[in-house]
Amino acid sequence: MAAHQVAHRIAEENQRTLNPTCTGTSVVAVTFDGGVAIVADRVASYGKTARYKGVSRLYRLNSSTLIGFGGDHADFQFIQNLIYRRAHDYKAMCGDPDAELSPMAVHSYLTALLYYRRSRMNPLWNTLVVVGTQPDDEGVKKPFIGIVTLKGVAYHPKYVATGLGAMLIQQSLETEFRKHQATYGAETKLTKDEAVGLLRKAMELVYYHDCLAHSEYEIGVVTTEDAAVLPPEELVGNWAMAETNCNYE
Amino acid sequence: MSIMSYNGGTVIAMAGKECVCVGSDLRIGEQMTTIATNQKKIYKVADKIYLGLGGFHSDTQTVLNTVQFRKSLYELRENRKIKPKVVATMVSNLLYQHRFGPYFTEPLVAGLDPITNEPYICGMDTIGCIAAPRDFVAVGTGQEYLLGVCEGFWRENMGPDELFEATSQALLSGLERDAASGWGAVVYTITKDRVNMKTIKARMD
Amino acid sequence: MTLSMDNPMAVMNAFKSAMSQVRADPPWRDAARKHGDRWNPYSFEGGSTAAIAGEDFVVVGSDTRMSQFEVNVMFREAEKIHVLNDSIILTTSGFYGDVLQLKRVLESRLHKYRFDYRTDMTVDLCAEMLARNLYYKRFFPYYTGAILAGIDEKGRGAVFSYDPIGCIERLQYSASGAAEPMIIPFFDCQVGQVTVSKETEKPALTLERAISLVKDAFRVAAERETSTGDKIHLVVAAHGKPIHQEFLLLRED
Repeated sequence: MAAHQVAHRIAEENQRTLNPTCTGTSVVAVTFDGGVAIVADRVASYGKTARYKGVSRLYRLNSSTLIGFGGDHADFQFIQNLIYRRAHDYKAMCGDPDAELSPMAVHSYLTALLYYRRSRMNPLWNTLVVVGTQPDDEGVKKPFIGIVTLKGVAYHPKYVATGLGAMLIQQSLETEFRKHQATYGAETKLTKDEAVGLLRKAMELVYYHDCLAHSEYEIGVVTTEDAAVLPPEELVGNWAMAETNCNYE
Repeated sequence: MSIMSYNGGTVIAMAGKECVCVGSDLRIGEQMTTIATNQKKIYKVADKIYLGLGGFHSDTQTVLNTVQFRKSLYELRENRKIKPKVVATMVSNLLYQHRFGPYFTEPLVAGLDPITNEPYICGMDTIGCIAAPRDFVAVGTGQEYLLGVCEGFWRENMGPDELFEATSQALLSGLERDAASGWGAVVYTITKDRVNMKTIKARMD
Repeated sequence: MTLSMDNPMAVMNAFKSAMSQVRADPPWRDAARKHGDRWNPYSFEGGSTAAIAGEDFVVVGSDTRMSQFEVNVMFREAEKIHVLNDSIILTTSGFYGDVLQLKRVLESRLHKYRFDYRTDMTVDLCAEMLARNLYYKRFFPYYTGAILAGIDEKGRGAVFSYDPIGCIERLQYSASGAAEPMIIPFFDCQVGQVTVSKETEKPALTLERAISLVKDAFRVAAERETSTGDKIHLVVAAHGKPIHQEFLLLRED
C-alpha cells in the first residue's frame, strides 16, 4: 500500500468509533402492567473518570417512547439527532403535526442503522434500550422494550439490564419477576410502583458493584398516557460494611 | 493444527452395574495421512484395569511405559493388587509432575476394583486433573461427538451386554463424523470374572 | 530527490509526507498487531438448531437461549426459527445481527416473489436463493449456520444445510450451532442408522419419532453444552397441514 493510501485509510479509521471516549454504563428497564420503567445513572465517564456529571442518558422522544443508552455519548448525540429528524419527517409524511413514531418503529430503524454501520466497519458505539407503549393490532397499547447493540443484535425482552448490569443484576431481575409470578400467577405483571421500586433496588446494586456507576440517577416511566423522565434522585447506599471490612487504619 | 490432534484417535469408557466398557478406534495418522490401521489406544494395566490414552502418540507410549513401571513397583512394594483409583492418581501425579512441559496426552482409566468389583471410570486433561463421573468419559479428537451420543444412550445399572451395545453404538456414531478417528474399533467389556474383547466392523475410512 | 533550503515549500511538503507516513504506519506496528487492532464486526450468541425431514413432514428444533461472551445469558426467549411462509422454515445460529439481516433479506425477496408471481415461493427455490444470497457476501460473510426446511413441490419433507458462505446440501437431517458435534452423531445413529448392519430391522421414521428425537437431541445438548438451553422451540410442518409450533422447557443452567 502506498504511503498516501495508508495515510488515507488511517485518517478514515480515526474518524471511527473504535475506542469510545465518554461513555455511559448500565441501563435497566422492566415492563409493568400498562407500561415500562427505565433507569440510568447521570454520568458520562472518561475511562474510569466520572468526567461529566448530571448528564441525562434517557431521551424522551415522544409521548410513547423513551430511549436509554449505554456506550459512547457522542455517538448517541448523533443518533439522537437522526431520530429527531426522523420524527419530524414522519410528521411531514403523515401530514399530521401530532403524528408520533411508535417505539417499535424507532427500534427497527435503530437496528437497521446500527447493523448498517457495523457492516461498514464504522460502528455507533451504543447499546440502545427503546422502551414505550406499542399499539397492537387492535390499537391497544402494550408495554414494549427493544434492545439493539452496536453490532446490530436486537431482541425484545420483558426486563433487561445492559452493560455491566447484564452480568451483575439481570439474574436478580429475573428472580424478582419469577417470585412475583409464582405468588400471583404466570400472567400477572408488576404494578408501576413495584416496577419503579425494583429499578431503585437494581440501581443500588449496580452502584455497589460497577465502579463506573454513579449515585445520581433518573427513572423514566412510559404509561399508556404519557412518557416522562422523573427528576433525578440521589442514592446514598449503605456503607456500614466499611467499618468492619477495612484493612487500613 | 494442534499437537493433540496430530495423530488422531478417540477413546471412550462407560460404567454399568458391576461392569465397565472401554472402547477405542484403530487409526493412527500424521495429520491427514493414515499410517496405521491397527493401533488400539487401550492398554491393560492390571487384570481388571485398563488405561486409554488419547492425544499425541509418542507421548502416550512414554506415559504408558512409565505407568506400567510404577504400577509394577507399587504392587511389589505394597504386595497387593492395585485399584483403578490408585492407577488414576498415579497417572495424574505423573502428568502433573510435567505441569509446565506436559505430555500431550489425555488419559482415561476404566476398571473394576480388584476386591469389591466396584466399577470406576475417570478421564483427565493433559496435566492430570481427574474427572471421575459415574456415567461415561471420552477423550481424544472425537470427544465432543461422543459425549452427545453417550448422553443420549447411557442409563443407570446397565448389564454387560447392554453396556457393550451402548458403548459401541456411541463409538460408531462418533467415528462416523470424526475424520481423525476410524478404521474400525475395539471394545473391552470388563466384568468381575472375565474381560471380553470385541472388534467391531465399522466404515473403513 | 535532493532537497535544499532553496525551495522551502518542497522541504516542508516532504517533511509532512514523511510524518504522515510514519504516523499512519509506524514501524512498531507489525503485521500481528495490525491484525489484532482491527475491530471485530462479529459476535457470537451461541445456541443450536436441528432439523429432520420425513416422507411428508419436517421437524425443526432450536433452543431459545441468547448468550454473550460465552458466559452470560442475555435473553432466554430468543427466536432462532423463522417461519417464512406456509412451507418454508428458516433456522439459524451464529451471529444474531446477521441472522436478523438474513431473515429480513429473505422475507423481502419472498414478498417480492409473491407480488410478481401471485403465489408463495417453494422451499426448493428458496433454498437456491438463500445459497446465492450467502455467497453474494463471500468476502464479508453472514456468520450464520443456516438450515432451511420445509415441504417441497412434491409434498416431501426437505432439509437444506448451509455453511456461512453458501455451500448448500440437501440432507435428510442436519444440525448447526454450538452443539452441532453432539447432535449430528446422535442423528447419524437414530435417523441415518449408519451404525447398524444392513440385516437389522430398522424402525420407520414417523412424525412422532422425529419429534421425540429432536427433543432428545436438545436435552442431550443442554446437558453438555453451556450456550444451549432454556427452551426448545419446536416447529412441525406436514404436507397439507398448517405449521405447528410449540415451546418446551429445557434446563436453564
